[in-house]
Amino acid sequence: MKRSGDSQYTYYAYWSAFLVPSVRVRKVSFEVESGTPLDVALYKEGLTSYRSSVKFGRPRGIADASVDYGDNLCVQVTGEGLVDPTRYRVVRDVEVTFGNRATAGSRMSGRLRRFFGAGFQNNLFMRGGVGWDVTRRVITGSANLEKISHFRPPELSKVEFLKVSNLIVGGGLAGLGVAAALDASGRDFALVESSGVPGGRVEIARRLLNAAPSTYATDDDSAQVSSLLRLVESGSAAFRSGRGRLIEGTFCGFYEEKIGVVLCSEGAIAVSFDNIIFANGRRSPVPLLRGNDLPGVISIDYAARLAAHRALRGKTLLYSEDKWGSLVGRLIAACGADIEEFVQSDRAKIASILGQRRVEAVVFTDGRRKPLSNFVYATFRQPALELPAQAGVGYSWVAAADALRADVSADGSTALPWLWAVGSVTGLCELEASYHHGLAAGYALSQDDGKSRAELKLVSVRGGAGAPTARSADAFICRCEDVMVSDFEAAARKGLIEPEKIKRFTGWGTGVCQGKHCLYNGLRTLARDGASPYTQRLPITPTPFAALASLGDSAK
Amino acid sequence: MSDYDVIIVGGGGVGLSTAYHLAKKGLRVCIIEKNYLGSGSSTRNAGGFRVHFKAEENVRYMVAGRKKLLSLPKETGWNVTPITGGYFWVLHNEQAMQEFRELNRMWASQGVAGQLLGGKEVKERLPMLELGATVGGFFGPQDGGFHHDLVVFGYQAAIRRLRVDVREYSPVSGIIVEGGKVTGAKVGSREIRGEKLVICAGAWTPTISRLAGVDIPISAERREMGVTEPIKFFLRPFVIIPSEGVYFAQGLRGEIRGTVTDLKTEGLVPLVSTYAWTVEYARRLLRVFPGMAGVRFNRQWSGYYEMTPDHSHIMGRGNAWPEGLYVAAGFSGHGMMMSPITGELMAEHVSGDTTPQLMLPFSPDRFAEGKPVRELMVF
Repeated sequence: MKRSGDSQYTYYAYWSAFLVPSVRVRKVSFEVESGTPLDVALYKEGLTSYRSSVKFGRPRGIADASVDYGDNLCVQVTGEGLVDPTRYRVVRDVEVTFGNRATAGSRMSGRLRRFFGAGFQNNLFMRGGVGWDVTRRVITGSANLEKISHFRPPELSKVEFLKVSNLIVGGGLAGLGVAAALDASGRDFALVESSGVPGGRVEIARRLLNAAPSTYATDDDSAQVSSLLRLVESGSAAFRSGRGRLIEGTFCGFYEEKIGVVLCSEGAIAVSFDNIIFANGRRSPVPLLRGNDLPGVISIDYAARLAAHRALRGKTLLYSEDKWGSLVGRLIAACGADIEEFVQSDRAKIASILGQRRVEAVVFTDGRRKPLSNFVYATFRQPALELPAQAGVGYSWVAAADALRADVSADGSTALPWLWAVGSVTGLCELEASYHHGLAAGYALSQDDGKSRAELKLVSVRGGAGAPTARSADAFICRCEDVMVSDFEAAARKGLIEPEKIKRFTGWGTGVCQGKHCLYNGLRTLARDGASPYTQRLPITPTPFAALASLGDSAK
Repeated sequence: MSDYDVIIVGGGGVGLSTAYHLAKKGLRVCIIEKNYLGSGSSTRNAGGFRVHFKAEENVRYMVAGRKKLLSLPKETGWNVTPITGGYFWVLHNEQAMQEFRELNRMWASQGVAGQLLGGKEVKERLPMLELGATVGGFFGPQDGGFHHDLVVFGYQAAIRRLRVDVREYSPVSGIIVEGGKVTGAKVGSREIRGEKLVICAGAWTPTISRLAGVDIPISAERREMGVTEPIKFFLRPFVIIPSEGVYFAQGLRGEIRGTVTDLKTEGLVPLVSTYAWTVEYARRLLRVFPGMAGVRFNRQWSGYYEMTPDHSHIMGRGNAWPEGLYVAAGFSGHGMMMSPITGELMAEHVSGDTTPQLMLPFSPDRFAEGKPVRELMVF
């Protein structure tokens, strides 16, 4: 398997008859528990900085997966069916090849971009003639991924076509609420949940609670998680009647024909539906601090995943603006991780994150330095709008609240009668309230208006607002396309102030994360009340051609 | 007294270019766009340019158009990031080969001869493709790719410098005709007065022209396309495989963009993405390009082709039209590459009332006169 030119960065694997799967790195193999996500396994071995940027020569570790677990990984997995293509779970011995280290072109174009900013190709010296010829070569030489012929498709054995009346996207409390109400009314449904286990955020908390020695978690925290778990349990009962089906996989969006595509471990599923209900929650955007692109800057959700596998190592600072984030932080601490919560105040503010190839320290505005291995952020959560927005649900930025709000009525219905959004993806409610919001929508879908109204009464609208965060000019807004706050300023100087135009000028939101994180930070930087995001494009999760083609083949 | 010498309806590539060239001549120009500049079809296309058309008129037009497009950075200060990698047609039957052989003689007479290649040579030059029983191919080195957004941004910056009045988010609701002469346009209840009016509204052109009682034979066709995640740059030419009905090219970021050529929906239907296109594109792409199987499809979108009966654009004015009404539209999928030259010609035509030689074959009256252009090479 050895190829010339990338010996240092080729990871060897071997087949073995043992039950414990192993990954081999630089001729050193390590064993992992079966089912461990590949990124977690590598993180655990300290292999976070082995992969360099796809372009622009910036070091990006496996920890980049914090953006969206497997979604943003550019790891190439070879071998047959060894690793789940959506979540890269190690189930047998693994043969993995990472892309080469940053190419010279990548490093150079990174410098060009750093120096001239976005749109650097318009510079007088680079926009025509020999200057452009050279620049073009630098840019085209900058992609880091393997050449095409080295790619091998993941083994996709499964092609399935499914028809349901109601398709629920997201198995957190809101999605479970919808499922419970539909089941109680005798309606059929399918629920897509990427982890395969319903519960969403609560499920992550449960795993941490289980991993922690009981004496460490506080009674209050345990009690809060337990009461939420009871809701998860009553919602999960919906799957017992057989009217509903739980699909494990990543929902990649749906098309004009009302067919959704789900990417799962073994292949792809096409689901045609009459109604679709988005319950895909919200997430924390990365703080706009200098150094926010370094490996080791990870979201609280990802930190929780690492901690549950005991892979969160070294000194960790939790930058918290969110109550739920603080709770998860305490659970992580209870699991034995060295994590310390930090709440920004007038007296103590973080100025920047420092590090060469990964996080090494944070610097406070008063000049104090604190050495670190991980910087975990639990910022004010924003609706995971990529799915509802793709489907036509409007969102707009409310500057005073520092948050996105959806054009959704109180019960979750939208302008399209067959399209609903429930729970925290609407920006209206979360956790317990989300469950009731889901129930209300589920009953409304079953034409049971009395029950729907009763549940709506239990929904408390959350009015909270995010704390205005620091914004340094060289903080990254978009980490896939290397767009910084200063690039937005450059766009404004050129008269480009609308999201659509800025997207086209800087590349903001067009990378492989499909804007899942950078959208908020972009709108926050624009700071324009009522600004609506750029048009969201399909597929919401980059999908291997092999999966899409298998659906096409079977249609023939 | 008019507010403007010329009102332009439609702020896409063609409208912007026309506005720019008119303003450069010192005319007072206003450009009215119903959404934002470039929002229609200008920012939704495949970003290719070619000189190799079937109709000689179009070849001549694009030989000049190519020069104009590639010199755009000098004019606007915005690099259109050209990749001059050529167009590569992979041909699977002798009849197609023969056709290209004959066409190449015409192209040679216009100074843009390409290379006719044998089957073996095609496979050598495109080693990553699984081409089966290909009989040969045609390579047009004069063709290539560019970035459409940068054309729009460039003109936008240039017309700002020339103080063109830009009205975005202003849908035109009426065209004012007084005494057989166009005197302005209505945006809601507002009247904008101008001596002349040019419709550059792409697929929406017939809706606008009807406001002045003029029918222009343009119909919309929704097409879809998409790009992958970035991969190492390896594919210079724009590859077209007519027998599979698929084309693709690699962009500067390393993304592979492409589409199938025969899946389309007629009419101004909503610009959404379809499942049918997505799975069909993936299926056909992998058949010729199995190495793409593990590459992830990243973004897709749709846009309109603005088709005319002879698949060639309509520019100038009709004899029976109200005085002062002009059109430049119906580019049938070639609007972006043609926009720089079109603007220059239109500006000459509108400001001086002379008709440049290049645009003569494309007059709106050619259908009534029975002199269509007959362009069949549309992908």
